[in-house]
Amino acid sequence: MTSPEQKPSPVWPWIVMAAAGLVTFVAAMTVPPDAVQGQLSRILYVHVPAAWLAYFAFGVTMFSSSMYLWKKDIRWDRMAHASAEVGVFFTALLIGLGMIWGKSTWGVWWTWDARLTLTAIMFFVYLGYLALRRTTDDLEVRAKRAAILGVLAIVQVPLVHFSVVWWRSLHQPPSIIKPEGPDMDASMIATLLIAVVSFTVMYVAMMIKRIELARLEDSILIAEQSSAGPTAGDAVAAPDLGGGV
Amino acid sequence: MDPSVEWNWVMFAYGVTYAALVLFTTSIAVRITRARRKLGEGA
Repeated sequence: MTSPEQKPSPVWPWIVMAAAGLVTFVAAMTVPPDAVQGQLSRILYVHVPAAWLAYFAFGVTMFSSSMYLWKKDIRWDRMAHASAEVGVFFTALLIGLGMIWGKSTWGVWWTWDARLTLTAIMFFVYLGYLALRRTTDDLEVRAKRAAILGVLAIVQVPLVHFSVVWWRSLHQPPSIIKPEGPDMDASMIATLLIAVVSFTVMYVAMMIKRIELARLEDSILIAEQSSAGPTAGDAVAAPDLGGGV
Repeated sequence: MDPSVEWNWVMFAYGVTYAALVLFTTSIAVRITRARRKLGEGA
């Protein structure tokens, strides 16, 4: 009988990720350019999937955190942690790609627009979630604190998404999901759909590996705590205040 | 904007995207390998 740590780490998620990345690249490079933005419109096929996965990953963190608070099963905490880290990665990518697109179309790398500012705040709040997890080695305390923040922080996702509708923004409003229907060419919508699906497959593969890492990290923590020697405080006997009674 | 300049921006964006994806996934792979080694199970 082998423990989970003794099983070889699966390689197929890496292969799936590479394949999904290749599919996105080929689709994005072969679709016709946009009539207004020209070739620059190709940035859409990585920018929008990054945004979708940032939202989705933080949604998974919220769901897993809720499940942890309900079931107290540490596996839900690992999933919340893994999804938050992947979400932070995609939010950083989203902001980076937005800056490149902004510089090439607006002429500036950054502006304090509602969408951009709220996305930056969301990024730092989830960085704070990852930092909060490092404040204690007690697995249950860490999981409980992180789960509460993981549930509360989700409020930012609708704020970021609807910021272009609720406030006047330099960022363009939604092009696909809107009451009057999409105003994009069918070939662009199809390519965007391929990119979103490919990136979602990448997210699933990343999650499989990141959850594996979280399980290993917890095993190390438990092993270190169980093998730890006596601490300095153990050598000090409590004073007898009962007068020998 | 000149189409060749537009292509430069596009390639820059895709370069950043794929470099970031490779770096992030590599960081996960390295941390898994280190954790397995620390647990004495080998990678």
